[in-house]
Amino acid sequence: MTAVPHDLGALYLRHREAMHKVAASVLHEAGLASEAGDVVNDAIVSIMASPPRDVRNWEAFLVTAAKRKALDRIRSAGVRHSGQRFVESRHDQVDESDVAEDVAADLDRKQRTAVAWDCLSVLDARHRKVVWDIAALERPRGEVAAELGVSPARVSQMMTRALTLLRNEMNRREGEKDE
Amino acid sequence: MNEDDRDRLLAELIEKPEERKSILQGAELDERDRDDIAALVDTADLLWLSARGAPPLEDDPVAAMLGLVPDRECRLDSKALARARRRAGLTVSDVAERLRARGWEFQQGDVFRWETRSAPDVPPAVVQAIADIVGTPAENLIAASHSVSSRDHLAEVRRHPLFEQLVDRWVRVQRISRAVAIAELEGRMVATVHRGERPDTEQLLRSLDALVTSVEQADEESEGPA
Repeated sequence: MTAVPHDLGALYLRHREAMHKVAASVLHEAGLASEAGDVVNDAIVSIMASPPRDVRNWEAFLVTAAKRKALDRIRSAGVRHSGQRFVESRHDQVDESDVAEDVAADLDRKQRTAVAWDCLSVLDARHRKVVWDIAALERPRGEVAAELGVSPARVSQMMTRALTLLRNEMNRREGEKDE
Repeated sequence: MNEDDRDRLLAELIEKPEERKSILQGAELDERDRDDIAALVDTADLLWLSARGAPPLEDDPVAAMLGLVPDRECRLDSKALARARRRAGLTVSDVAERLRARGWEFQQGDVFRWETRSAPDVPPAVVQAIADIVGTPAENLIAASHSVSSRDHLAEVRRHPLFEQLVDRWVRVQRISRAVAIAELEGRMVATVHRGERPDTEQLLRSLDALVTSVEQADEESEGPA
């Protein structure tokens, strides 16, 4: 245990971006991404109520807490659907699952979002608009197609091309970094 | 799989992330196509994630609850800080160092500025941390507010007897000063309203009550018999 306990506010200020990103990422494929803020809130309230001891890496701890609450929310939605009772996990319970082990991968993924964003510069303006508006901002394909004066099918082609170019550029940059 | 089919499949996977498993189950893909599609969907997800993150501090209910949003009614008084620090026998550098030991990222120059110029950007949680460091109640470090509150729309909630009780409970469970507790609970309400919701007084009080109760319950559990 550290000699002076850390203020949760200070820790949240430093790591809130990572917490929100991890929560959003976990909830995305369950169609619950809009609940990321609530998940982070649940994680922080849980920590306020029962402050942990012996934390060596606060970023990993907070990200794990957010991830666990996000998984809870997905399970809870599934259990509600089946009519069973849901038991919430605690941020400080001993975890035998792979949640904690995945933290390094989660933090690495956060770094890679920055690389992906940076690589948008390799695209021309039209391809950049297609991929950003549809993949990042979740705008309907038809709307973007109308703005560009092309068909939705053409937008899909442009999207595939843009993602392929982005992927290649990311692989190139990450390959350079590894060398 | 021809190129048109691939473009269509990719668009569908990006537009309906919650249906990816079933979409892929229904698609006829060889291993190479599957790997290519997975890599492109992953790239799209990284872009999606790059557009997500924490909300601006002033719209973040968690930041408000933790006292991270500067508050005109809980503003650090420069002269009071200097007096309290000297009375505690600490240097400006000592205060900065002790703040850093608690997790804050402040330097000696920040504390010096708070004492010699103004400190409107110091949030309630930092006022509380400084009060703990110099050994005085946070109320002794707060400048009297002469400005009209920017939170007049919350006046009704603030006057409600239940709000007073909630503040008292928040002070106890968080072990903080009353002024900081008021700032945190009011900040929480403001952030809720900023998020586009327009709850009435009863809804706001119920929501705060739920928050305070959840922290209290776990606090009691942790202090209970092992």
